Amino acid sequence: MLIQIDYQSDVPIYVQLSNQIIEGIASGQLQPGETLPSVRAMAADLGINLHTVNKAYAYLKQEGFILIHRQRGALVRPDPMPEADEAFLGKLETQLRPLAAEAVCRRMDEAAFLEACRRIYRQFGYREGS
Amino acid sequence: MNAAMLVLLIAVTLPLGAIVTFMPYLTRRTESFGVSIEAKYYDDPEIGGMRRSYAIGTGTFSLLAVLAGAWAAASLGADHLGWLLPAAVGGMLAVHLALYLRFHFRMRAMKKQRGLVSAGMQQTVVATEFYREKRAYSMAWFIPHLLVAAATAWICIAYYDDFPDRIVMQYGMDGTPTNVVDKSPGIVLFPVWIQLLMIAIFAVVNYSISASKQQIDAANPRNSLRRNLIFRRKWSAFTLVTGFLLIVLFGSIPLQQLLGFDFNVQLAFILSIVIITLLWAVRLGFVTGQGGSRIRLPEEAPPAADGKVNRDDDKYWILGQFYFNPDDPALFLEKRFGIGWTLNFARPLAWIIFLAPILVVVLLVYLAERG
Repeated sequence: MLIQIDYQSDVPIYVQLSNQIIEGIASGQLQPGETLPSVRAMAADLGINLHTVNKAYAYLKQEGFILIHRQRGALVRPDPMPEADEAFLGKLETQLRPLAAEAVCRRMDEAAFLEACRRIYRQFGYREGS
Repeated sequence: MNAAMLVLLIAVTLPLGAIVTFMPYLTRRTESFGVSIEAKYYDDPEIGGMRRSYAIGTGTFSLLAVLAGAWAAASLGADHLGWLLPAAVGGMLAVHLALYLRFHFRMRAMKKQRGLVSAGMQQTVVATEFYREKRAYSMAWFIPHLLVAAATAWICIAYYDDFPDRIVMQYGMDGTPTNVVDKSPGIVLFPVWIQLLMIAIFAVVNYSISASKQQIDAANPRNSLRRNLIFRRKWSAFTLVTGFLLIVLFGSIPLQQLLGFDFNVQLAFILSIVIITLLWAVRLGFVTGQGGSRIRLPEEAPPAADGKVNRDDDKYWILGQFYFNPDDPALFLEKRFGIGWTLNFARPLAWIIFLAPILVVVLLVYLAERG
């Protein structure tokens, strides 16, 4: 898959990087077990500090999206992710809260808010009829 | 023998002149005289005018250098090639550099005025599958080179007694020996040392072709990725094949000493290898362009429609020629004004790779002179 990093964005580079890898896994552009460029190669290709890529990979590893092998480098988790649990639901709600609040402040109606959520969800989730 | 000298002079200076003259037309469309621009400005009349002025200036001088060199080669004695060829090549490169710098500073001034890379749209694109693609031919292709070097070494050792007592280290173009030393195993094996040094250099070049960081055009990622892979493989093949020819060339030296075959045969052999290498390099340069930018793909994926452009990295390029970025772990990357790869001079290993071959050559020449 193509990873695109914007340098003028307010979103830090390591967040852009980890978000796009998660999106790649969700959409199937990154297959289970697929190898990712090593930290060094990724940092060289982006022309950024090793530390920045390390931070993204460490986050993805901690969340269980990728594995880091000593020999094979980084790879997408071969088995399915654990199903959404209480902890994930909590995280989801915490992160959605400020956006929902802003939508209310801007008088966006509920249907439009939900429609936006649905559209984004389906960009990833509808590939395998799930 | 003047004819051979003339051929060598023209064979070297003409392709070199063609490459330096048309260099601004061979770079990526996102660079102009070592300055990052958006591809859409490549065809800007002012920038196009600079390319033309550069090409006319460099082209005229290169042509004069070829003609003057040819005239001098034809009228002076054959023993003058030793300085004539370096002088013609040096003059060409000096004019190329002077004109480059002039237009580089002009481009910088123009960019200050007009921008040329929109601040809000800069992006770097990376393909996660890049390092799984075939980027260069396998290092196993150096086995034939090593076999030729081994055969050369075997001939030198097995027939050591048959070599003449005095070994010619250097010939003038007229075939008269200009440096003769006493026979010793180190001297007889001298061509083998050169072969091994060259194999090491070609192996590093082939590795750098495969390891050099991916540089994908953000405005057209899919196509530029495909072009870049073709570009790398073509230059890898060039390195392997012309490298092999050079190894064979050095392998012929002990044979010539042993069998004493005609000097003209040796000279014709050298000339044809030099000519093949240079013509192939020029042809590839025009076919691929830097990074594969001139390669025509059978079918093109549509370019990205989001208006994104490459990141402006001018601040890491000293005079638009030397990359110095301590934050970038990359060792090898594409040159900006030229075809091929360069080093990130902020990394100590880059200096070692840059200086090691020079030191080894100096050492070998010193040892050879001492006999």
